[in-house]
Amino acid sequence: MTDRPLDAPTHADLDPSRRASSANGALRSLVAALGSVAVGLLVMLAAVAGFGYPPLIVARAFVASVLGNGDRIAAALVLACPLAIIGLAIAVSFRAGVWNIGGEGQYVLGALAAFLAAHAGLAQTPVLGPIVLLVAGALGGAAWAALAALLKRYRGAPEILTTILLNFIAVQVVAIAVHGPLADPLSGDRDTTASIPAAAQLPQLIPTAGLHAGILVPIALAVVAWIALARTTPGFRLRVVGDNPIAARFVGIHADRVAARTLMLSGAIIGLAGAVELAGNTHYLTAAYDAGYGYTAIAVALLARLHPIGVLPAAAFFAALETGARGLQKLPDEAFRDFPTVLTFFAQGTVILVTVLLTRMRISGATSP
Amino acid sequence: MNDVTVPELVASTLHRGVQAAVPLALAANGELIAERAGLLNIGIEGVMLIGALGGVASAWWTGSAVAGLIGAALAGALAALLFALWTVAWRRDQVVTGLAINLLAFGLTGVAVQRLDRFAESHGSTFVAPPLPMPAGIDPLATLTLLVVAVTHVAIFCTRPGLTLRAVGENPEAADTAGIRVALVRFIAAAVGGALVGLAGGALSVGMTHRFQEFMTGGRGFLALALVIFGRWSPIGVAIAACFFGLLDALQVTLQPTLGDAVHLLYPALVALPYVLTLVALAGVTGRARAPAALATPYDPR
Amino acid sequence: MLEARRIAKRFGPVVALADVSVEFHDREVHAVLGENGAGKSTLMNILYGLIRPDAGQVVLDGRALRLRRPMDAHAAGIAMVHQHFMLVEDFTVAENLMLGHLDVGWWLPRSAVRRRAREAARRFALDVDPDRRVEELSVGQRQRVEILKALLREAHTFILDEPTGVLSPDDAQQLFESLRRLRNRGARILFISHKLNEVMAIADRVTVLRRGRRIITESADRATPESLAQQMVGRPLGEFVRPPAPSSGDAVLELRNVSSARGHVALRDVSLVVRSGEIVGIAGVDGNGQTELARMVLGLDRPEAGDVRLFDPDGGRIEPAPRAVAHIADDRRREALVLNMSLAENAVLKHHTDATFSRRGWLNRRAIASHAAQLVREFDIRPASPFVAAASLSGGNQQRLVIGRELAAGRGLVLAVNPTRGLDVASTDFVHRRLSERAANGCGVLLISADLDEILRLVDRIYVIHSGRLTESRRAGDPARPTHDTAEIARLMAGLPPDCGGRT
Repeated sequence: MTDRPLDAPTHADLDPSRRASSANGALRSLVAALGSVAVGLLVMLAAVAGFGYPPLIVARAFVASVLGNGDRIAAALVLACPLAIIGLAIAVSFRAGVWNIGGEGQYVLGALAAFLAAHAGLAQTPVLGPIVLLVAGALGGAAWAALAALLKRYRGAPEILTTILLNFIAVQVVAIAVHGPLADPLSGDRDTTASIPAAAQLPQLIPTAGLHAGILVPIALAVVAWIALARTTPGFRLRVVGDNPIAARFVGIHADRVAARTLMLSGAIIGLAGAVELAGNTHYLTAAYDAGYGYTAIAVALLARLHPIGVLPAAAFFAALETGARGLQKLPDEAFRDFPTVLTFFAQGTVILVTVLLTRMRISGATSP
Repeated sequence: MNDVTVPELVASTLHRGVQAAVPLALAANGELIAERAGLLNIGIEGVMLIGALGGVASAWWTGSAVAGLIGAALAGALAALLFALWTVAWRRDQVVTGLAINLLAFGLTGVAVQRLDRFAESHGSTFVAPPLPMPAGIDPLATLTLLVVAVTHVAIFCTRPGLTLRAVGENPEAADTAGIRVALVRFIAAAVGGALVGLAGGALSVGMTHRFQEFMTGGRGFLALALVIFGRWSPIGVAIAACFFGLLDALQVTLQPTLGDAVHLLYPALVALPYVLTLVALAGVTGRARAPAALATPYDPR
Repeated sequence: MLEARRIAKRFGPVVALADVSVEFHDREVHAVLGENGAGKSTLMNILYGLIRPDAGQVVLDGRALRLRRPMDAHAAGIAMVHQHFMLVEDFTVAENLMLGHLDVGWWLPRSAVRRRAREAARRFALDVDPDRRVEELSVGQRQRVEILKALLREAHTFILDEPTGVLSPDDAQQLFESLRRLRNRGARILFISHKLNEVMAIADRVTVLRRGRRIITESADRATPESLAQQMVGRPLGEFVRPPAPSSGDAVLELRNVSSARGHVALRDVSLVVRSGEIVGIAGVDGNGQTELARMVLGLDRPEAGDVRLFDPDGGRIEPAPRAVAHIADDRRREALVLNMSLAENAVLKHHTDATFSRRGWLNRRAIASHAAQLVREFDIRPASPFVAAASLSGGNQQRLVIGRELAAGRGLVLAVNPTRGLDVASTDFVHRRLSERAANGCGVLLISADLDEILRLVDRIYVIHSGRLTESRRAGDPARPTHDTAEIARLMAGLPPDCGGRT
């Protein structure tokens, strides 16, 4: 669970947080991340015990249910895919000092936009179909984030609040669409849509386990984001704005514009996650399509200490936690039949609290609402 | 629809509006107290949930709804103290800590209610709170809320502790050199504010539904954050804003039967309406309201 | 009598105070003189309970004090007027006066505070309206509020940390008057300063600190500015003075009748020219429109009326923009540096899009690192590594980095705002020489500074800014060596007309 694992030690590595004490600093980050995970797991086990489950049996069953067989691992990876993409988008926005808490809304809107593209018949050819869907999803997410960006830039409304409020609205927008124009006439209760055409779906890597090609998206995106942040001028400006928006203005960087664009970029990436999930995993929309990924992904980004590459193992960890909890319910032992998966939220909160405690992480930028 | 007269409809809407305004006003006032001390607690949604659960739990345990409300306030204060421990004692990022507390509370209350349901069942009872007594037909929660708003308003603007509170939120360094213990004031503000937010949760669970459901606050905590801005950090202003949103909520319930078959389609729109209006209001108001100068900034005495 | 007895304090490896003993008598103004880093602020903070000494004690009237928090100092009648005022801007004067008096019940004693404020105001020439909000007050008035705060706390010992640094000469005179009245009523006043002439004007006794040691304590009538200066610095003073070099070169900056109500202070009909080869100074008390003027020149704000014209070295007109001006910012940590980024990244903050440092959006990290290494050599920045975080540099080195970055580009206009505030003597000298050098090389320099001495030493022409208006003060006297009339400048800084009835 290193958060800066692929750090290339070149003589011209300029970022002091990486350079100054590359060995020492990286080690400390690694220890902090592992420490957060360990403490988070311990607290969760304590909670499990407190709620009357035998902690050791749970722990053993848990490990077995995550690592027990290939299918379980695949299931965790399928869940990790949207978490990693959204976590990456959130990490990028936090790096710019932009509080995008709107992952949930941008995610469902991205899925809706992708579905609409398929519904409109734009994705009928195999290879091109999924690509159309992904582009549509990114546009949908970006458009939803653009609302918050515009409110921030022209009306001064704090994005930390507007993105949250837009989550609640987005979920209802999808509900209206699914109940109304997009409802599948074959489903009696008008709560789901029809599936997108097979041509628009992402190819399966391991069909039996549901592992789809979308899993490659977060890996590629993480590498791109990592390089872009460290080595390109837009990435440089994004970091400047995140660390000191006032100085940014005084050296001629349009901090407001950078912040607004970052928010939309972040929305686009999250929308992409919605499209990937739709094209690779769910294939159709439901009236209550939100899955809480937008909130879990915040924990992913923070555990990764906002490093793009660190997001991948962090997402895998939280996904394993979730699938592990679900796996417990499927065990033959009667006692776990109703094991509360909502407990994973508790673990996410704990891990964030321990992470900020161990790393003094502070997200500067213009926060105040 | 046919056999209800218009005045009856108005009266029931008003009544429902007040009921819906109570948790909003309490939560927003609690957040206001914390923000006046410089603490921005995004975790207020979670604190409210914990209050709601703590309320039902203590009401069920003691068999008294009043004890339930007290339990709700205590649970809220405890949750807010966790926030203060991180942000004041250890000076950690307030937004990150608040987000963590939300997640923590979602998880904790979700599991706890399931176990408590099971526990109550095994003792041959159900995990619900008894109804609140209504002496002389007066809604005790609405009265309590009015009282809280009035007391908070007077305390903040006319008393010495209020002055101290505002100074800590505006310029903690100046307060420190004047001999005020900034950290202590922030802890107290967090606890008192958290108690009100917890009480808001209790009003929702003990006062209205009598039981606890997962995520039952449904974003009211986040709305309360916006209400503090609309009310311009003044308790009375915040209460008026809460009433407006409460009435809106009630109106939505009143209008539902008139929608007929379209309800299936339009119901989500009605649910989204308060959030849409909050967005619009935020766009209109933010520029003109001034937040406490030290909001969300940790104070580090050298 | 208040005594500091054998006080010692170190911060890590740095010795701030070594075995310092000073006696402060009743009924005296006792000036504590010293360079930056001499230990005067540390000593005062110890007397006020903000810092605990490693050794030694503070003794009041023969009784050792336990000073662990400012509250303990308050209890002993010790009050401090900080350099940065400790006032809540959003509060009224009266509310600020009531803050922190924990002994007076639940309700706010508004009328009593008002009455006592008026009374003290009359007695000690501390005129200020208790019902006005601090936000609306001038710097001099705010300082009076600070002294009132101490008086209402029934302080007997007043510590004033560089109290005149931000005042206009007029306000400083009024402050001295208040201090004299306080002393005559028995108060003990500790006056920290590094300005010799005002120390000579107000102090009864003087203590000089240098590098954490007490050099001397003597009666003010026996000291001379020269002797004190030598004791402060440890060597005879040789401050850099730039010979005037009036220029008739092309204008690099021209403001024509600029007005704007944006910002805290409205600019009113401001006209100004800076030519290549000259240094133009803008003198004035902080908060009279300097910030607004600088933002206008940088193109961060646009004028509502009038015209801001910037010219490149060839005489072509260019748009005012941060990248068109070499800007030495007022608050370098806030406005010029990204503290979490490396020295190298900060070195290209402004010009990272230049072809040397990036191509098609890709940063050329080799070029950036070698550019930074060059700045480090040329401007003697320490520690000499391009990769350290800017936060880990000392103030002087941060300023060298900013100056190196801004002056390296060699543009037409240099805008320097309080460029030596908070710097030690060596760094100040360095900054002054660099600015002078740029002017000699054909840049136009606009120096906005609250330090009148700095302006008088460096500039060719002086404008004075007050309440958003600019007035030029011309040299006069002997035509061969015309000098600036400092009395006139002082009047302009106080907002008085240049000549009031022939009095000086």
